[in-house]
Amino acid sequence: MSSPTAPIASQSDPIRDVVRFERVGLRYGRGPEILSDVNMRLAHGSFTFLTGPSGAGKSTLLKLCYMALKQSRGLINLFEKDISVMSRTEEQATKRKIGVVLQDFRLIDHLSVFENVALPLRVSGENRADYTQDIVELLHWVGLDHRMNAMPQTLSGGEQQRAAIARAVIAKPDLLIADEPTGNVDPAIGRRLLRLFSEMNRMGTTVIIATHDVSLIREMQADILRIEKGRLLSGLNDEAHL
Amino acid sequence: MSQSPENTSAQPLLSAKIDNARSLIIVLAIMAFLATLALLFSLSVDRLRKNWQGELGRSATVQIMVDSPEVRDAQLETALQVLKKTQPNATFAPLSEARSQALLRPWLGNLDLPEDLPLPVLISVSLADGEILSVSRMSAALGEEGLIAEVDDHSRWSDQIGRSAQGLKAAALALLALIFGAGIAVSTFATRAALSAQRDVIRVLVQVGAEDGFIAKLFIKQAGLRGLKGGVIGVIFGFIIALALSLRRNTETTLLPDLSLNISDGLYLIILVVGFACVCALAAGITTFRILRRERRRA
Repeated sequence: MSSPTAPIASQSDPIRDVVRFERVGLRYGRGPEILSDVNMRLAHGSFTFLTGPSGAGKSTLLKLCYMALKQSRGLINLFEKDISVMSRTEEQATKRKIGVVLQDFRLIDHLSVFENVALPLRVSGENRADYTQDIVELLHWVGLDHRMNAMPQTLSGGEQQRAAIARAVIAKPDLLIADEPTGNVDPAIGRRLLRLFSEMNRMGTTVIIATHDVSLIREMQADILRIEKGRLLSGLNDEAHL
Repeated sequence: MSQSPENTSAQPLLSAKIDNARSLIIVLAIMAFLATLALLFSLSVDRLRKNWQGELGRSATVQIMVDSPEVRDAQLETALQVLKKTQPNATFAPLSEARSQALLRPWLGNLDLPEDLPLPVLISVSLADGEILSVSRMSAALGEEGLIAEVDDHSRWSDQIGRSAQGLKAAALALLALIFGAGIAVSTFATRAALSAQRDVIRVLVQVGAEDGFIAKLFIKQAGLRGLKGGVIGVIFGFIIALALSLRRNTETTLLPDLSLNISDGLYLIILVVGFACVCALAAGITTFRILRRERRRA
């Protein structure tokens, strides 16, 4: 097992680090540290599972990765840029390279499934005619092609999750961050979604997935990070972490 | 079965349902209505001032103090000759003795005036278009002929009318500015409420990488359209009321000027509507940028 203070997600020769944490700590106000001395590297093109018990800090760690939170100390580099010195424009440009699947989906209620999925492309200024077919195909892939005009509140939890996943991947992000992406879907759909992530990873997207689903982890040849009580432990395909 | 997207154009990213659009448009329409009346009143006052001053500026009154009633006609004749030389294009109309006496009635009542009362000779001067009145030249020329004369070019009245009209115009414009200020306040308040109500949408937009400008544009567009709708409704109602007032205006002289409309007012009303929409949009944009920056600092 690697040192708990210096876990490394992938030790293969990286083209570049998509994510790099150095002695990162996070606390809210004057409270205790929720994350302590987190050292982590996600190499370009890596596929990583983040595991750990509930409340260990998985979602918080991912929030730091997609800049929803700012660290209290330490260094975070995304795409080899220190996020603490990024301008607002650089920050948002970096976010456009990241696809995020959250546990609460965050679909916009007054937009159809199609429009929710199109959101990252609209924000990037893409032409609607250029992306319509891509969205139709992606929705077909995630099994939502028959619900593309439905409003989110009429979807089941699993359908909402798939819509959120489609939104996260439609812009072909360089980094895909998913927090329990298969939590609400049946095993068959779960495997299908995993294939989608795997396919994206094969095309160069760096993927990190927080999950409790051991069967999901066992299906993939992927790096594993384990977090416990706000501290990161690591290993490569280490069954002991599961 | 596979579907295709229902809408060929993108759905609006901001929800219209939580925008309270209808009540806001009513408030903005009322403000635009008041702004329309203030603007038309200001334009009307300005037109009236120009007309009054134009008429006064083209006329004058020459008063000649006659030595005795016997020489009245001779002095009048001399004065007319002198005046025609100094203002060759002007028209001179001497007032009859009876008319001069009538002018004294408001002060002296209907008394029979003594025949030897030396009433001054009054000559009304009407200038031709473009002709400039020279009071000093007239006075000097009359003086050279030994006539005791006073030339009144009505500048005292004209200046007073001008000042009064400028005051009314300034008040109307101040009212207009106040209404625009209220429009800014309403738009700012509405944008704050909309930003709060659409917090979840903004959070998602920020997460997918939307710049502040992208988000601000959504609120600018929403507020601008709201301002435009309210502006058009208010201006139409304001114009109808102003038209009705101008059609039944009093023909007698009154203290306050009547509303009168002109074709060029239409251009000002278009500018008012566009300006109103722009002000609403601008306020929304500034508010959005400010709040997004503040939220970021808090995070």
